[in-house]
Amino acid sequence: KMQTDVEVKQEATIPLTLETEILALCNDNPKGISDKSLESAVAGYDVKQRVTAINRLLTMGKLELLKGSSGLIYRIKTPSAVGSISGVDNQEKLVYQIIESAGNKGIWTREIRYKCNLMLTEVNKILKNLESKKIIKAVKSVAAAKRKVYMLYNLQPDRSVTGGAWYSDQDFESEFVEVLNQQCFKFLQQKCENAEKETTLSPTATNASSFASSEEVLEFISKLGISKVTLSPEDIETILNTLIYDGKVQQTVVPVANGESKKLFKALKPLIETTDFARTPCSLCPVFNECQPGGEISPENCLYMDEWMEY
Amino acid sequence: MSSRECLLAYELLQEHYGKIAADVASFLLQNGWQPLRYIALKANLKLDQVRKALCLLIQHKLAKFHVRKRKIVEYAINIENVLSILFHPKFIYTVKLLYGDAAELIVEEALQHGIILMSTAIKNVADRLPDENGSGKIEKAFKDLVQTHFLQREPEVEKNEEEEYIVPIFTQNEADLYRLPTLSEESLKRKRSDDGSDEPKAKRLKSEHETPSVKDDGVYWSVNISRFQQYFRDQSIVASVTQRFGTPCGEIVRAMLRISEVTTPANAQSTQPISSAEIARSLPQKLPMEHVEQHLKLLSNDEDQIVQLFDDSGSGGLYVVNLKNSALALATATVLSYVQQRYGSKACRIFRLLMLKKHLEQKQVEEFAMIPPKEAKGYLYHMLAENMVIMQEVPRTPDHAPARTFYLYSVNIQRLSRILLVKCYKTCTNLMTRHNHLIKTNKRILDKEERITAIKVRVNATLPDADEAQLEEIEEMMTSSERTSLTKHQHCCNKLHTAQNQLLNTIFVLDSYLNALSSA
Repeated sequence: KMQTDVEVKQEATIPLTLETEILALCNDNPKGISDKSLESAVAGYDVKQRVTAINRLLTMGKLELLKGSSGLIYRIKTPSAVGSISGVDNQEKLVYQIIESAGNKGIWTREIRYKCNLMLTEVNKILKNLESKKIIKAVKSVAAAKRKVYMLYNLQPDRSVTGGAWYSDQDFESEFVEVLNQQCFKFLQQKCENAEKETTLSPTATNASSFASSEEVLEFISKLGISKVTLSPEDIETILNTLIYDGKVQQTVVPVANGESKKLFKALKPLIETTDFARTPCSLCPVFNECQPGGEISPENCLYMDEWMEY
Repeated sequence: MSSRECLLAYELLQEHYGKIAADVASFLLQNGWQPLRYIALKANLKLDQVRKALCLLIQHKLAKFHVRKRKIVEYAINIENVLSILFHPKFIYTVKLLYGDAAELIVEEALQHGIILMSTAIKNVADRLPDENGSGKIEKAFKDLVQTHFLQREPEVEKNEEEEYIVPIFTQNEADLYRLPTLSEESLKRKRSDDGSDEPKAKRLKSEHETPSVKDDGVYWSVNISRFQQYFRDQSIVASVTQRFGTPCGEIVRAMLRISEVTTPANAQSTQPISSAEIARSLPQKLPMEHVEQHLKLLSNDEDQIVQLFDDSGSGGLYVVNLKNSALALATATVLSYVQQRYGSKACRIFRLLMLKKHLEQKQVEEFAMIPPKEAKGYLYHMLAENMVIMQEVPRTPDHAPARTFYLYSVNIQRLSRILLVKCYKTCTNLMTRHNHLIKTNKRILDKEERITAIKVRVNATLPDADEAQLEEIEEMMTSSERTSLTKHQHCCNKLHTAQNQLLNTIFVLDSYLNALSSA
């Protein structure tokens, strides 16, 4: 880069016109322009000049270089906030750019340090600085409790960082999930019972009307007003999935118009009540494996059995 | 066969047939086929004792024998039959519900004798049921039991003149299994008149007895254990279908099972195909034909596949009850219920998740089950420590470094059924041990109570006009504290018995699943 800079100074006039031409080209193609089409558009200049001009534009931060599906792509860089902030030095600018490129997924300190090649203390100082100016913010990730990720201040963190509807601060709201789990089941159960009350229906019709779509469940849940955040049908489906794993709900897929299919859910009754084995104290005994007739722990002197027989 | 089963078998045999029989059986269980003298030598028993014990066990179909190298007779134990002693009360109760008191007593006699002559059984029952005059009713009950295959005919000794064989050879025609001999009124009467001539059955195999030849001589009957198991299995299938799909579906499955009850072999995969019209005809409460068909369709769409569509040609189609799938579904439900009870509902969710998705990493488990990582880890490790889930390492590099290894969790229902069954056997042994212990500790009070009852009976018999004061005096021989400990003892015994009987349901479900697997 240093070499090309020197050259630029030596022959300043040609590159300048070239630069403005390239910028204009890029302005016309806001999605970016590939290396080849750029080459054919500015055919009047040789390769060296073109490279010099592009390098200069890149260092000035007016262009950005992207890797597209068909090779390199040049794109006009949107005038970022960094330019408008006074008192930002080059290092801060670098860190800012790294954070900006991470988007709403955020980036971890170690990654930043790795990318900008600065000292840890320096990076920390810059981050602190930028944070106090409300240019960037730190968000705690749910993936790793102790890991902070940085992103631009005005960005909404991605679901993978916040964990979606089930997290408040990076804590998993297991109680919220449990309540939703119970309410969804209650709704489906109610639907089943209502269907069974209609004695005039045929078995198939009874069965069909016990099923509900995730949208119906969502509607019920939103009416209850137990959720502070707005839930999507997908959120409800994850909850309904937990009910499937609980063995309380079954799922079926029905085709709807234009070849798509829709998931329907129905409350499921268990095949057996609690197993009879669970009625004996031994089934839940913590020292079952140590128990031996005549041993230190034995059925003869078992305290659990004593209590159970008293009952 | 596990050591737990052996221990339970020992307890059961000791309780029902005494210590020597139990010792012999336990030796055979540990060592397999063994000749008579070797048993006596190694088990430190007298030859005669062992011989008697073996006779007893063979009589009750608990032991079997074969000839090795044409001259050594060896013996072994039928562990399935020994463990089915647990079910004897259930057999008797079932028969009582189905066919009444006479049948109950017939089965009781049959269980007590192991194998029994029809005439003896009828005579004994008639003695015990004095109010039911005439053996006709009892004979009918007996015939009912045979026709529904609850009793079966034992193979007969082949008459062989040559002295080539050292053990009796048995033959049996498949067709004869449930064929009744014709009993003349005369033979029954004679049986009743000479009370003492009951031949010693334990020696039947060896004795050349000279009792007057009644028509049913040599035709012995025994309780058909697999038929009872089949009945229990049908019951549990109907119960679970009713539980999940409601009464009409339960009735439909019951009808299907009843139609193919006698014609389906015990170890069949599924019942014979039955048309929906036939099912509708044999329902106790008539349902509209289209309802029956719709119920059947819904049942066959269920993922457990208890009822399956066999062939949809013709009107309505043919349906079967898939017995293997039912066994699997019931065993799975039992295992899940156990997990739920022991580890909680969230652990159960994880367990079922693993069942549905086969192999998962810990992180995936947390995400799918929506359980916080810390909790999920706790449940998983707890279940892993107690062998409920299996962990499989899949290393990405040959060095098995933890950071570069996938740890996949999975569950295996078959394995767990086995584990759970053994747990049930151990629990059963525990309950029995505790029961025996209770009787031992309260022996003094129990003896005293027995004495007092005896005195009361005697007083009532000898002095019909004994006054209140005298009876009260007898009552007061028992102090109030003794009385309370007696009631407490009885309460505890009841509790233990109930638990043991309930445990049988679980044992049955798991056992029949494992049997269905091994027979397939």
